[in-house]
This record gives sequence, C-alpha cells and structure tokens, in this order.
Amino acid sequence: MLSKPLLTIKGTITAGVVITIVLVIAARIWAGM
Amino acid sequence: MTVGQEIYLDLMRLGHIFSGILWIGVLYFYNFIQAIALPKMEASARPQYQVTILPFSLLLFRWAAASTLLFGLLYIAGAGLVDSDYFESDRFKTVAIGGILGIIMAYNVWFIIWPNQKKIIAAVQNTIDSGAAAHADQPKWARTALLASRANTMLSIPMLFFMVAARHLPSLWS
Repeated sequence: MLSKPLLTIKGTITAGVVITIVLVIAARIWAGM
Repeated sequence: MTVGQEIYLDLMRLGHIFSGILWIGVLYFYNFIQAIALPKMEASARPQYQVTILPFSLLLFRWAAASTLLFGLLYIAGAGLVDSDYFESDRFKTVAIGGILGIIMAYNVWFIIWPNQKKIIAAVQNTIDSGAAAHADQPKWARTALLASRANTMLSIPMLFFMVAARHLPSLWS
C-alpha cells in the first residue's frame, strides 16, 4: 500500500513534496519548543 | 580557521556537490526519461541498451552515490574538528536531516537497486548469448529496482531541500 504513490511519476513527486512540507513543519515545531 | 582547513573543507564540499549532482542526475534520467522511453523502444533493440548503456550508467550511478556519502561525511568530520560548536549549530541540524535521507538513498542504491539490476543485466546478456527465453524472475527484479528507484526520487526532493536550506534557510530554526 505504501508503494502505491511510487507507481507513477506524478505520485512520486507529490509524495516527495508532502514529505518535504511535513519535515519543514516538524523542524519549525521542534525549534519552537 | 587556518587556510589549510578552509581548503580542505572547500575540496570536500566541491567533491560532495559534484558527486551528488552526478548521482541525482543519473537517478532523474532513470526515472524521468528511461522508465518512460525504454518500454517504447523497439523490443529487439532493448536488450542492446540493457547490456551497453545500462551497466555503464549504473557504474557511475553507484560510485557517485558512494563518493557523495564519503565526501559529505569527510566534510562533517572536518567541520566538527575545526569548530567545536558545529554539531550544536542550526546548519548541522538542517544538513543532518538531508544527510539521513541521503544515507537511506545510498543504501537503496547499493543494496536494492544495484543487486537487482545486476541480475537483470546478466539475464539479458544470457538471452543474447544463448537465445534462451527471458528469466522468469526478471519482472520481479525489475519491479523491486523500480520501486527503490522511485523511493529515491521521492526522497531526493526533501533531501535536496534540506541540503540547500542549511545555508539558505537559516530562519528554519528561529
């Protein structure tokens, strides 16, 4: 199931952008603590 | 910082950037060009591509991955020795996020993509040499290598962002 987005280029890039946003938000929350 | 230390860090940085661009450039070629164009290639021409261009590009690909990792670690070790506060710095925290993603990607290259591609190349060569039918496991190897390659393409997006953000987004931690 986790591999589903990786079956297409569009899904791969979308997943990469989502991970980037999640990590940036996590870093900012971590910095604020 | 002495001039020698600065030159060392600059050389490690240069090696890291050059190897990294070579590595990710080949990765993007595989994902954005080869994966789409190869199935469209005439079936009789495909094996020639797989035993000539593919092995050579994979050679560059996996050693570029290894040297990117090596230069990056040598840079961090050097920066840590020169500046005792380096490992506490925001720059290091940002680069470490990119570094962890990069280490996962290099692992995928050496222990998933390369072993599977090696089996595919040997099987295709065997088919060319002996005229035997394609190995039954070939689609399975290709799928495993494809998913690992796609995972690396996905991870390359945050990896590149955080590598560049270490110098260009100092406000990340403030």
